Amino acid sequence: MTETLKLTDVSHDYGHGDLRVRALDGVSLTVRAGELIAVMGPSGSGKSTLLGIAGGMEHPSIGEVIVDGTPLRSLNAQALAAVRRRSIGFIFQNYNLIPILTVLENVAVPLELDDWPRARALKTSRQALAEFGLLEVADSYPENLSGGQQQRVAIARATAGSPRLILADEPTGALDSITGESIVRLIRERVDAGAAAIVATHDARLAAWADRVLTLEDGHLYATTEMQR
Amino acid sequence: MSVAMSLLAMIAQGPRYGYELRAEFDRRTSARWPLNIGQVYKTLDRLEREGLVEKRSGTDAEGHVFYTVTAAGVAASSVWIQQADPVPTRARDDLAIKVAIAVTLPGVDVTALLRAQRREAITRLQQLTHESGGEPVRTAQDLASRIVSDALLIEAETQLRWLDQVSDRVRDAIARGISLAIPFDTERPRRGRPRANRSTDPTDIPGGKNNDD
Repeated sequence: MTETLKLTDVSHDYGHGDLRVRALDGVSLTVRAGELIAVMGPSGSGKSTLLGIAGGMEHPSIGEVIVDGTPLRSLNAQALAAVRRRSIGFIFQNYNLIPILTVLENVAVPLELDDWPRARALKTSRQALAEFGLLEVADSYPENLSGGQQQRVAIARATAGSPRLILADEPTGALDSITGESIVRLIRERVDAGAAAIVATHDARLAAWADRVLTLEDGHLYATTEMQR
Repeated sequence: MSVAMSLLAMIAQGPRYGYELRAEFDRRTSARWPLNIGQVYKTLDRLEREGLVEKRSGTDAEGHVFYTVTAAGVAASSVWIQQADPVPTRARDDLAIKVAIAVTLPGVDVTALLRAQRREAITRLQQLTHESGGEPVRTAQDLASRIVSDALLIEAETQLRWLDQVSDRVRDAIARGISLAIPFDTERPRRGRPRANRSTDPTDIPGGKNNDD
């Protein structure tokens, strides 16, 4: 299987001098296409930092991050932003939808930012919404949707451009358990279709859908389980 | 008890025979706790002795013996379905004992123990999730199946939450400078005597006649 993401000896510090906090400490991780990884761990253990670094939101203090064969540190800001748009789909606990745009426009935003012609971006977005059973709310605004619907829109937005890597930070944290299950099923389906994904979560039920469960404790990453599928 | 009352509740809906009851029980509980037919007939005999069901005389064309509910059976079934079950309490929680002992013994790697136990709990959750398939509920049988699998999933999840809580407590205790190990009492307690009257007899050793284990 293709290595979609490779982190090698990644450490990351916040602050300086006596106030320096090591958020990640010597983390190495390879995620392949078709693989769903769950990262568990207590609050402040470094889960969000790990996702931010894997997604090129920030460079690690030490170590290397390779997405789809490209070392992120080798890229300038513009090229890095392009990798983030094309190769990586982000899903957040609080959905991060843009309130003044309709559902359809929200899904189309990353495609348009990636210079897709508007008509093509809207057509692809409409197809993505249809796949998620959201076509009937395409012209609604996020505030008129339930939490579960908003998260499905966020997943449609994150995956409309068929990114090879999906990074989800507590995607079910704000949802009831049955809605949460439907959300993780959507992520699982994307992974089974060939994406790679890392999901940071407190939710053991969500983690149980992963192929591998890893635990972060004080910045160290430990392999916890591996599921044979 | 729940098997007997489940069979009774199904007979209360209309006459049933043994193999039918076994199949219906398994179907409604996703065969998670499958019954053997001997168990079914033994249970039916008991229900009959207790006057809750009656065996019909004769058989159908296929030789099935049917059981019907009595008035007392209807009442018992209704009470069972409507009355809350007591929350199960375990006489002893072996894992809680193990962790409490391990945490308070000097030189034990508690972190490794908790990590190993987490691995067990997550593996169990993964297996149950895989078995349940996670498909959305579309039929009454899907619903029954999810009710059973949710009970097992939540049990495994609860253990995981408890392990998280233990980790947090241990971390917090260490951060507050609390020494985790409880030193062994140098004065050995004797059976049946208050601590104030401790013996100084050097022959009073654990495992001797005064040991109450």
